[in-house]
Amino acid sequence: MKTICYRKHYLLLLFFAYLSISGIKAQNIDTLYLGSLFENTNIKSFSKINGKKPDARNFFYFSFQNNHNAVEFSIKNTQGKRRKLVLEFSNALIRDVILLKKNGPVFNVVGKTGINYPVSEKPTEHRRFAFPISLEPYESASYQIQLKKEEGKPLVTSVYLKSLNTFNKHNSIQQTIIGVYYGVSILSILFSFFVFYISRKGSYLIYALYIIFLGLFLSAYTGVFSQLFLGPSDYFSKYKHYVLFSEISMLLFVVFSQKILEARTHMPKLKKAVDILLVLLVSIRLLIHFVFKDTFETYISIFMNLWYGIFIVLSLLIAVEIILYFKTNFKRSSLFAFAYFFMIAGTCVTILYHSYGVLNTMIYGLPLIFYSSFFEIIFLTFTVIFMVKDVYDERNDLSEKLIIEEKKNLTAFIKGEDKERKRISKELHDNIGSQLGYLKRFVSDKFKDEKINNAIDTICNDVRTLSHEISPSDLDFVGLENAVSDLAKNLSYQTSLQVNFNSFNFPKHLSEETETQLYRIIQEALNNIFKHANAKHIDIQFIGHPDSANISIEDDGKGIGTINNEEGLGIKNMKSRTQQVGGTIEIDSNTNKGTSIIITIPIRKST
Amino acid sequence: MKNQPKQILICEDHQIVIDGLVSIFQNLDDYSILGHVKDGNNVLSIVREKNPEIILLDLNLPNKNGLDILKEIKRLYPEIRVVVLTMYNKESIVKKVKQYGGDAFLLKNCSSDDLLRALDGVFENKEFYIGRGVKRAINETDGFTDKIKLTRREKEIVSELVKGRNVPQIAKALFISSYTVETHKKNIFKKLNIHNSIDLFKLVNENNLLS
Repeated sequence: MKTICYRKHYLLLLFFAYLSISGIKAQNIDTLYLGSLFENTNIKSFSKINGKKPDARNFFYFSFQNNHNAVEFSIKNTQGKRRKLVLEFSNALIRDVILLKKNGPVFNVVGKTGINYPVSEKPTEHRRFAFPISLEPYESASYQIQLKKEEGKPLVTSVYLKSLNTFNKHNSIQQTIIGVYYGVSILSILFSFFVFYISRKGSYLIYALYIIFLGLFLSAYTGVFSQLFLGPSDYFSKYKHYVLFSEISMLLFVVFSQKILEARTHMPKLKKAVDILLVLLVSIRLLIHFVFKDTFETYISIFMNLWYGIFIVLSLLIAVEIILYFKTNFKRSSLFAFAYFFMIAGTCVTILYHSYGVLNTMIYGLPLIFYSSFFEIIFLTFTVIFMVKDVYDERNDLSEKLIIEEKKNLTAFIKGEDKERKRISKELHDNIGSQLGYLKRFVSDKFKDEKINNAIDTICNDVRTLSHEISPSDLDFVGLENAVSDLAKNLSYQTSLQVNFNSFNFPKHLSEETETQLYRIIQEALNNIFKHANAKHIDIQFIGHPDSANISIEDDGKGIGTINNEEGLGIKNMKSRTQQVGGTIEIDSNTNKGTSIIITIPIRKST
Repeated sequence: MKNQPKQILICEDHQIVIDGLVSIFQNLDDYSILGHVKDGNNVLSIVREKNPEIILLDLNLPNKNGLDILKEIKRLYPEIRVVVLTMYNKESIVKKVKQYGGDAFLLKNCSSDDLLRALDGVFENKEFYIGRGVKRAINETDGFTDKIKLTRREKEIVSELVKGRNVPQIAKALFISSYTVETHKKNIFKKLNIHNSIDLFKLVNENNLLS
């Protein structure tokens, strides 16, 4: 959208109309005295050039009719030493710039440059056009500048006479500002590429490309492009890059804005209108520039007015979209509105300067659009950051919800399972167990048959063991430590595992819920070790500390390698149970180095 | 002639078991059944009221923990003999029953002979009677040797500690997390009742802990 290039020929015909071509008599020219303090003079404000000041502008504006203009001035070195000066033009895209020096009655050419000359012929290595001037002690000299512009296009430029030191100083300041601009651009580009790489969303790529083309456009407009990218024998190829870059960047900006504002979902009709206008704009611009360049030279003003008209409508449509989008996403919309403001303001001011000569937009030797683009990029990048944050937050929310849901399900599942187990265990233990006991006595009293008695005893034992495995009902009687101690001894009797149990200062009065959960965790762990670990020894330790208690279960098995589903569920189960009692669980395992499980629960000091 | 029959109170919540017990004692002169209690909360009041000599106690009564009932009966009426008749077959429970003053421990699937032997036993000699099939504590340890014993992993960590290594180095060497090492270290210090690595060094040298 940076559309400055075109110039409208509003006929603010200057004093140059009569100043030009024929030239001005030398005796009418006032002299600029270079005292010791001389640093910088705007030639246009050097009013004594022709004794009067018909044009209030402090820069030169040539409308379309006069193709060839000349400015004359005299300077005198009042010092007894050699002075070095630089004559500098603010416009980097002038067709011909010729500096002549008066020698007796005639003007001799000192230097020629412009976009029709090879880069190597620039009199000074600078992004714009500049001529070095040297004055001998007390020398007076008269100069003429001849400027040629393209037909049908206006030209605007400031002309400065600077001391060499000032020129260098200004140059450094400008290079620094340019460096900052491109530094921010590069960061934004990298960020966008990075986000694009991660999210695979086209809008971030479009944004990165937009900054690249905006940067190219500004580099062409400020002359950096010719300095960096053109070889010594290249010509400044007129306005080609500059127009192309500006059109592409406008195209990318509009497409990007539609993505940011989610125009397709929220305002499809407006988006359609924007699309049509955009195609219209780009095609008009490219047609008159590259296709009908010569045919329509005289009608350029009409085409450009049409172009500006469409441009204004398009800008307003996007502004409406921004306002509508406030409702959907206030933060993103506001940030984008700031960026948009800087872009539109920069563009409009530049059109007023470049095409109509109404305002001077040079600040520290750089056009205002350069600064406004800088702020535009900053705000756009913030917008993009918030877009990324929106997506990230959404996903985070979702996954958090999923995790909570999963935890809830697991907890509910475990609780349900525990309840059911308790019921079955109680039924087995109390009811079936008691009745079996009665049956045993009944049978043994009637039939003194050892075999039957033993068989019933075995059933009794099995029911007892099963009941206990299903739910640890003896926790109520003996507490966690004793129950685990029994568990360890039983496992040692029944299997080849050697299970050691030790307890030190372990708190005696844990809640029933906590004891049950801890018992189940230990049961689960022992079960896993027995089934999968191929271990020989297991150490179970209960240790109480002042504000916490921990349970460690260590084995010398093969370690947890790849976890299969059953083990995975077991571990999940253990973790969930630990969480339910407010504790933490740490499982450390190494191939053939055994596994160590440490469960830590907080202890509230009883008063 | 025999003495007066000994009065028995049955604390049991399953009717079929009560009936079975009653049938055992029906034809015996030495014992007579006073009645039964099904609810754990009512045991003490019935005991006070009926003043039995023997209580057959199921540890799994509704509403009240059988061990608590045992403890209270023995506190209030130490002369009443309490025979625990339960489904539980756990060393720790047997130990508790003994500790709380119970006189005999029988499984519910004990034979009538076993039951009668127990009843005779609790009056004749005052030793704790353990029924057939009940698990006994095999290796009663005095506790101290347990306390000083370090586990395999703990020994590894102690040997690293006495080499002067710090927690992150040990974690790296043993391929476990620092948190685990830290916890083990805390546990080791607690077990050995020491507070710093110097104490540990001394203790290891004096007691040959790592062998």
